[in-house]
Amino acid sequence: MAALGYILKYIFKTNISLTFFAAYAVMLFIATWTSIKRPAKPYTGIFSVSFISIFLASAITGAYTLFLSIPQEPWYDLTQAIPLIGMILGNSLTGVSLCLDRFINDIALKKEYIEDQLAIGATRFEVIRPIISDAIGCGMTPILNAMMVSGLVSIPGMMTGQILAGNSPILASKYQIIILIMICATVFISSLGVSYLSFFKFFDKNHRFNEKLLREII
Amino acid sequence: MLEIKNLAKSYEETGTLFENANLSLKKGEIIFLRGKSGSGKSQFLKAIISLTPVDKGQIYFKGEETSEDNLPLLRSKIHYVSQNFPLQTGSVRDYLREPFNLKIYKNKKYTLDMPERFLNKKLALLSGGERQMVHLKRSLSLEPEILLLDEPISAMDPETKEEAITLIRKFLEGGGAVIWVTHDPPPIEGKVLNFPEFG
Repeated sequence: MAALGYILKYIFKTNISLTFFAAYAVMLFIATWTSIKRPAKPYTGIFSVSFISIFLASAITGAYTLFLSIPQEPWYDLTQAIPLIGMILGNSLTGVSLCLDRFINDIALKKEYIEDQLAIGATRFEVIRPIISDAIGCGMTPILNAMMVSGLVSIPGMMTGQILAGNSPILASKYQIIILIMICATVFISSLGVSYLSFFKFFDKNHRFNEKLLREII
Repeated sequence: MLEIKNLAKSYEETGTLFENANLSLKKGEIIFLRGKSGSGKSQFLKAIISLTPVDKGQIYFKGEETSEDNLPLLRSKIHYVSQNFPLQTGSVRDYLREPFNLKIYKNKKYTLDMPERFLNKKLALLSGGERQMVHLKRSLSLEPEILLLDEPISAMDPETKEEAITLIRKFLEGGGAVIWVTHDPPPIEGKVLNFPEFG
């Protein structure tokens, strides 16, 4: 953490958009790498699936936050943009990793059930719907739990930081609400993305398993 | 009713599973497939309804070559009944009712011909034979035209076996056709083919 303090101090001095994009790229790569470490049975192509999902979620919510919710001048003001994108990526990786783990386990455990349904005429979309729904629910559990007790059991980190820094608790709470909604949206988009991209990898257009991939996880 | 021509399947790791598989099934006919465990009989049945990809070959259903454009429709007419009962929670009633939620069966009427007490039984508490019977009855309730049975009565006691055989006989008399994978002597009179030679 001490090293991070020095690095950030150096980075903040540059304050150019290129620094922001470079930091975002490094953080995105590390977040993707970390997210695929949790699933006990990774499959071929899991990195690209995770990368696309985290990138899409962080780009959409990051842009919305930096340009619309908490606009800065310039938009890439590194003292704001880097901590914000870090929060987005950190939560996104947690959601993706939990979601992937659940999705892969469900496919492996329910293989026979899925095949049984396909064998009597179910489409791949019909059989996967409950599995994707469970996987997204699993990915979103931490943020939904945090939102439920936010302010009742604990004061969230960003709000605590602002209050400790001497800012008004009302302003701090407004910022915190924006951040929680933003994180929730990020986790939802990335979980949705990773579930559907995995689904298209595991099933082909002929409503059957990709046998090669299935053998990797069973 | 069903014509299979030169069907072949192989795996990168294990090589050829079957090749030049030819088979013709008429209305009301039953064919028994016998062969060693792990010889690919189940994969052959799955290949008929494209549940597993094949290397080459053609399949004709009612004179028309099956296409991959509408596989759910084909699979609603040709049922593959696996030897393994899928891991599932809920009651027998839930299991039997579930397929009627699928788009392909939305116009079919849901009927149950089982004692109430049995319908309320939890799937996890059923014996192996009971599970196989429920599995078979579920397929029959969906009125397919062909049944691909993969050792469907192997875990049943003699009495339940007789009940299942009566159901399959009725299905054949009603114009259905069956391909039955078994290791036991055929319980119904029909053609017996040795897999994978088909001789």
